[in-house]
Amino acid sequence: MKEINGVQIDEKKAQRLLQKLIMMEKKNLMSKQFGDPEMVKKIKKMIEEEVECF
Amino acid sequence: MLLKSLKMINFRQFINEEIDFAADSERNVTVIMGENGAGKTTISQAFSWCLYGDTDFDDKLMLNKIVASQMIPNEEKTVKVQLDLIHSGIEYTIITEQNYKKEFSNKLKPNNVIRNIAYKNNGQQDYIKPLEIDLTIKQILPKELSRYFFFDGERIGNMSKEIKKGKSQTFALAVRGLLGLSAFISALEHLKPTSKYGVIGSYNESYDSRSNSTIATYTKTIDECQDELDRIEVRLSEIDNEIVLATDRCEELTEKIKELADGERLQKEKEALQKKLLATKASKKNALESMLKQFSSHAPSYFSKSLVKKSLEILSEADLIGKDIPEMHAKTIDFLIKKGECICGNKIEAGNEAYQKLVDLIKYLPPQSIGVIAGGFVKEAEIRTKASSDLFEATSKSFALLQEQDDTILEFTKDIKLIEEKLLTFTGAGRYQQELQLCEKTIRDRTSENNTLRQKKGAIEFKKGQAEAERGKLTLLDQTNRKIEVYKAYAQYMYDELQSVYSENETKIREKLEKTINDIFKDIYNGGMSLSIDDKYNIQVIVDDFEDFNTDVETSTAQSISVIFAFISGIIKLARESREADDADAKLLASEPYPLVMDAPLSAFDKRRIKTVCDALPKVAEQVIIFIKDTDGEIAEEHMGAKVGKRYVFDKKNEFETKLV
Repeated sequence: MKEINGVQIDEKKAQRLLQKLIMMEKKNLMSKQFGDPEMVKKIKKMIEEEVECF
Repeated sequence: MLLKSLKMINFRQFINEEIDFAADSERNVTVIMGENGAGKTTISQAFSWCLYGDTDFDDKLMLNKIVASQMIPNEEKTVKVQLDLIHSGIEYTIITEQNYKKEFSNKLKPNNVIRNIAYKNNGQQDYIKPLEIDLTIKQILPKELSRYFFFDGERIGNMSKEIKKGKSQTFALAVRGLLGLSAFISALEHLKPTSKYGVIGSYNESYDSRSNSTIATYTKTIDECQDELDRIEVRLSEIDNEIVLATDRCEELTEKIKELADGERLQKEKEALQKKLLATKASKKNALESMLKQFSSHAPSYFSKSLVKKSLEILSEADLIGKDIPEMHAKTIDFLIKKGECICGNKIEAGNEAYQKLVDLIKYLPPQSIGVIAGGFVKEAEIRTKASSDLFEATSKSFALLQEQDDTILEFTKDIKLIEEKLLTFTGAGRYQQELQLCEKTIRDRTSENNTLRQKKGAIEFKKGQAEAERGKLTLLDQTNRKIEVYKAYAQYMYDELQSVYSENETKIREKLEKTINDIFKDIYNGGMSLSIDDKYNIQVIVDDFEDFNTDVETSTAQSISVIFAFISGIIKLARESREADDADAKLLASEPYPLVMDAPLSAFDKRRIKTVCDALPKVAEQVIIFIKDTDGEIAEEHMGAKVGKRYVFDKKNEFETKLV
């Protein structure tokens, strides 16, 4: 477990998030469906859902 | 990006022409053949005009000349280029138009170039918003890279220089995009902790300070620190640019001043030549005077030689010598005749024999004295003949010397003139020196500012870090804020990981690209050279056999064109391999296929290399569009025949109109 700013990071979760993030970016680069602010919102939502999920 | 078709209306010599491009995997080559001046370059420039609204043509009026000449005042005509292409699985139609109006003064007035992009989204046609057109074009094919895909063989020299050095960060970014790193770049940009609008930055903004007002204070401090850091970053980037510009200018000025030192040397050389010129002119004057003096004193004798000779012959025939009596004067004879008696005692009377003999003798005695005069003449003739005997040789020598001096004078005059012409360019040494001092001062000032800002940046980062740590402690105590802190920590972890993976992948891809490019380069150009790529994707040509000689070398046209072919083909090949890869990680890096649009690419190659290039390109690139001269056409057909899917020939009607058949 890695610690950032006093928070323990579940690396499995974080790696899953990374895979999802790259896929999401890749998909959006192809479709150009979302602008930057929307993508930031989507990434935040993705992180929050993954972190909350056990 | 794969090209489907290109439609040109009133675009230079094409009044209404359309080309469909071969995009079949088996037959992926489109050949467009034509004589010089038929419009091959115009078509390749039509892509540039359609995508970026600009061309390399000096004449920026794109309207067909015949159409323009037939327009009446106040009439309007439109130039239109439509490019249909597929990018990332989406069908795009890019339409670039420009209206031209004929004024009453008969002058053509062009309006602004307007671009529109339509695309098919789930079967529905939609339009890209005007503000997003540039961004979309950048995503399809950045202008920085376009020249490598829309490739002009005749301008290979410049391309070769560009590919080797001096490319911008934008170029490196564009190459990284082509190599499939765009997703990483976008993800890093979206997570970016230093931007308020990024994921991490926006978490920083969303802490709830109701439970503890100190959180708000820390957030304010962090925001202020970040704003200051942003300002410092902007300034540091400006400073870097200013230092680069000033350093470049310093190099230019130093070179100019060095040239001016050459100017001083030339000035001294000119002065020395001027002195030599004056000396030669004086020497010539003396030589001329001496020759004329010699000539004027001896020429009469020299030129009267034949007359003197004849006179001497006559004198010798006249037998005048010995007929006079030495020391006797005509007056002596007059005295004897008057006396009437000779010194011998004979009587002298008018008419007698003695009288007659004495009268005859007077002819030979002074003052008439022909014998004496003749003797004197003979003597004088001998002296003069002797003195003028070497006049011809002496005059010839003097004349040769004068000619030599004339040549020297001419040579000095020419050299002085040449130096004077050169010296004309060596003006303003003082101004250059002043500017150089200014540039050097700018570098010193900016370097000092850079150091100060970096120290300040360090201090602010420390302050920000402390505030973040303090805020972190507080936020962890509050349930809502703790959640934000956890999400932010995950985002930070992702950012750090992504940066490390990106950097690792980027290095790997660059190494792989270097190997691929070298394989292709050695296939095309088998000449003991290899290529190396630095982190800005600049290419250096290295001579293999000389280990110590590892600096970039000047390349020939064939080498340059091989470098560019290898570079473009290498990128395309890597992109293609990533698309065809089996494992998921490699697929993540997959990028677009790109066409190679080449104008006169074979003209710089010999037959063996034309064969290698023709064999290699259709295999490496997914689409090849080749504009070719009639003469190279047969060779291309011979080597690419099986791959040619579409073929067009230019039918040049006149200088201003070409049709495609």
